[in-house]
Order: sequence, then structure tokens, then C-alpha cells
Amino acid sequence: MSNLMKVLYLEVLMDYNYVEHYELMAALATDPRIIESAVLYNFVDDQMYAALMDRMSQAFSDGSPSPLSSRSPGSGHSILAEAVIHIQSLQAHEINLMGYLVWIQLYRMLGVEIASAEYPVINLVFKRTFDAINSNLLAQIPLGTEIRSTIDPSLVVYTIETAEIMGQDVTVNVPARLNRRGTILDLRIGEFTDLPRLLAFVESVTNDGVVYSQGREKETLSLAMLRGREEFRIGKRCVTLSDYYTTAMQVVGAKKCNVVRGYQYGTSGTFNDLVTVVIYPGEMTTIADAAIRPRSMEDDRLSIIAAEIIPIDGDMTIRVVAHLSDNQAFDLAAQAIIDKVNPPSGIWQNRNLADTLVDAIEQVEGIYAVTQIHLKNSLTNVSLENIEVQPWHLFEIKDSFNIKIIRN
Amino acid sequence: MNIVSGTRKITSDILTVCLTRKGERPLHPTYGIAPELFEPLSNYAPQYWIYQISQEILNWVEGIEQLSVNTFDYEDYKNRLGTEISFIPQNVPDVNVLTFGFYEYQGAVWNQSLDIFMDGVALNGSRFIFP
Repeated sequence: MSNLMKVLYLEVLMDYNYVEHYELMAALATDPRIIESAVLYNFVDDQMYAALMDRMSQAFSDGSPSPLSSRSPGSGHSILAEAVIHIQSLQAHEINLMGYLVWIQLYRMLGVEIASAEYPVINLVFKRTFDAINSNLLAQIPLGTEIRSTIDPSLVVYTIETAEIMGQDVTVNVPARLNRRGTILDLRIGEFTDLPRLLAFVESVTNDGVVYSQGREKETLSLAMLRGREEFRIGKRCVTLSDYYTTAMQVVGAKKCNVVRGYQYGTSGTFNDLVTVVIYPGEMTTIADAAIRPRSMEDDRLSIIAAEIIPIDGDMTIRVVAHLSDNQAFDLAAQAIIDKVNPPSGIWQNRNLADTLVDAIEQVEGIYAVTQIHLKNSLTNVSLENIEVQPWHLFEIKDSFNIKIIRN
Repeated sequence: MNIVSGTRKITSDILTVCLTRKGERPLHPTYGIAPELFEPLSNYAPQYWIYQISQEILNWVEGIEQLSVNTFDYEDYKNRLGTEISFIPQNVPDVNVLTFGFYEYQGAVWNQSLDIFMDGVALNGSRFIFP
């Protein structure tokens, strides 16, 4: 066995993670365009057995026949040869498996790391005693205060910030982490109320059901591979507008995104060095900012804003086939609007919303014409023609939209 | 070195087929006809079983001119079946008779009394020492 083989073999012996290995191989096998790999240690049992039996049946140098010339599988030397080949074959299989640690090292070389497990973080509400409020006494909650679950005795949370209740405040919110890693499964509101050590001027503590972070299990090899591929595809920087788009959609996980150069939210004019990233849903803007800003170019100014959704209602008359009931026709039209017009579908800065809407509805089987349509902003009652549409605008047809159905 | 040849080799090969279970040999998974450890004798009709075992022997053992398998001492409820295998080798034209208690082998494996079982294996009436 060569030195390289020995190293490889030891590495294999170090960690047998068959499940991860086969999961990774299965993930690779789903993509038929990936280059096939040759088998590292090619070992065919039948051929090796036949070769060994051939060698044993060779005549001796003095011409006398070999005593091991029988090919019968009942003979003793055949049983022995078979056992040897079988053990060699098992070893070959082991060498062909690449160990978990080897994969991790390969991924590390490429810059991908296995994301480790994370603790879930929940919110705790500490309440100050009535006396302390009256006497204007400060209640302090130190870092690492332990609060036990009243349901599961092994479950404990620790505060991860120092907090104080002062002035006229009654309560304070403090984030706390659980004592186990992995995703949180069933958290009951009011579960964490047991303070094993009394805190001065603190009357009670409870969890109000707010979960800051769900926690995370350790990443598997196949997930790391997929994440790594995405990272290689876009790199870790945003240069072109499509880089911004891909980062927002795949790294941040936005449902819809628009990237424009030159427009600034709230003002008119052209700004050549400004990139504006519009994110839908708007709650993800902060996360998107944290993810995209470190990747942007130094010369580019960056603005990350939430999508503005213009609520639309109005009325529309549709012609349907005779056998369709009013309810059925309405449901079909509503489904077409949800699928094709309302966010996260729909088009950014849609200057032809009426056309888009008519196209979506006329594609439905059973509705063959939209005879009349009128659209307006449902809050301000401004007609659609008078709305100045901007790149950060999305339209949403509200349920107050009136659909009139006629048939003939 | 104990080199077996001639009639003794054929006898030894027949015994090996009879006492090896299917799947026991990694490169010949269909080799062998030994019963499963808890397999009841009532699973087989002896007539069918005789045909099956002679086919297996002819398949795996070379150098047999003629073969016939018979049973004796067949007692279903005691899970007992004596086997009498008569064969004529291709080279030496004489009839040899190998007898042994086939289903006793199960018990021998189970009770680890293989020596007692081997004492009962006879070739032409005298004890056959398994090489």
C-alpha cells in the first residue's frame, strides 16, 4: 500500500459518515450534466477471483501439476481464495468512500464552510415590583440570568443582554437563548417563568411568544454544497445590477426585487453612481441592507428601500360562457389576479396595468372578454392614469375590486 | 498437506454442497443447499427435495457419472431425515454410497456438536473423515 493510500485509508477510518456521503452522492447524481468521476480503486470481484484461481492452478517449475488445480467451488483453496477476495473487495469499497472530514477540508479550500448549529433566541418580559416603581428603585437583570421552563425541566434560557427597568417603566424585553442548539419546535407562551435565583425588585418573568431566531441545525454536506455553488455563481461582491438582484433573491431570500441605476427615492433627477435595490416584502429591507452593503462596490452609492404597494380597486365587466355560474366566474378571475397580477407576481413600474390585468383574465378558460375596466387607487381614489408610476411601485388589486359578470 | 483426490474428493465436494447454506459464499451466492437453522422438515415433500438436491450436486460437483439420492429414517415430527447418496465417478466404475443425517446438521450447528454429526457421516458403510 502506497503512502498516499495509507493516508487516505486512515482518513477513511477516522470518520465513517456513510449517510452524509451517500446523501452527497445522491445530490450530485440528480444533475446529469455533472462530470462523472472514475472509481478510485477499481476492483472487480469475479475477475480477481478467476485470476487468483488461475495462478494457483499453474504447474510447478519441475513440470509436476499443481495440487490446487481444481476449479470446483467445493475445494478448500477455492473457499480460502473467495474469502481473501471478499475481504479485499470490502477494503476497496471503504477506500472508495470519501470521508466526511475530507469533504469538509475540500469545501474549506474552496471557501465554503459547514454552517454550525445555532441556539434559538426568544424574548423574555421582566416585570418590576409595584414597590420598586413607587420608590423609583432600579431593577437590574444581569447577563446570563437563568430562567427555567415550567414544563420541561431540562430546558433553560439565559439572557444574552444586560437590562434595566427604570423610571416609570413596568416591564422590559430581554432576548434570551435556549440551552440547546437546533431549531425550536414547540415553544409555549408563558413557559419560562421559573427564576431559580431571586432578582431584586423583579416580580415575575415570562416569555411572550416572540422568537427572534428559530435556531439552526448543523448544515449537512449536500446543503453546504448547494450553498457553495450559489456563492461561486455570484461571487461575494455586487458589481453589475444582476449581481445585486441575485444577492437579494438568493442570499437574502426576497420574494421579488428590482434593481435600478440612477433613480433616488423621493427626489427627481438622475444619479449615475446610485444603485437602488427595491425589496419585496418590505420587512426584509434591514436584512437585505446588512447582506448587500458589504458586497457593494466602493464607488457605488447604495440605497435599499422597501417596495411601495399601490392598492387598486375599481370595476370591471367580464363576459363569460353560459354554463359558468357567477361564483365560479368570480373565483376564476380572482385566482388569475392572485397568480399573475398581485405581488409577488406582477411587473415593477407597470405603466400598462390595465393591459396586464385584461391579459391575465382573458387567458382563463371560460372568460372570453373583458368589456369594460376602470382602475383607481383605493385609498386616494386617484384614477390610474394620473398616478406617476415609479420603479419601486407594485400594484395590488384589493378585494374591494368589483367584478361584474355578463353572459349571452 | 492433505490432498484429496478421486472418490474422496467427490464425496468431500458433495458434503460441502450439502452443508453450505445459500448466500454463505460471497462470490457464489447460489452455492449450497443446507437448511436454514429453524427451517422445519415439513416444508418439503421428500420426493421434491430429492430431485432438488440431486440437481444441485450435479450442478456444482464435477466428475460424477451417475447419481441417485434417497432418504431413510424420515420422521417429520422429529425433524429427522437420513440421506443416502449413491454415485458412480467418471474415472472409477464402482458405486459409492454416502449416508448422513441431513437435518441433524441443523442441530449440530445449533448445539455445537459437529463432532457427533461427523461421526454419523459414512462412505460405503465406514466412517468418512471429512478432509
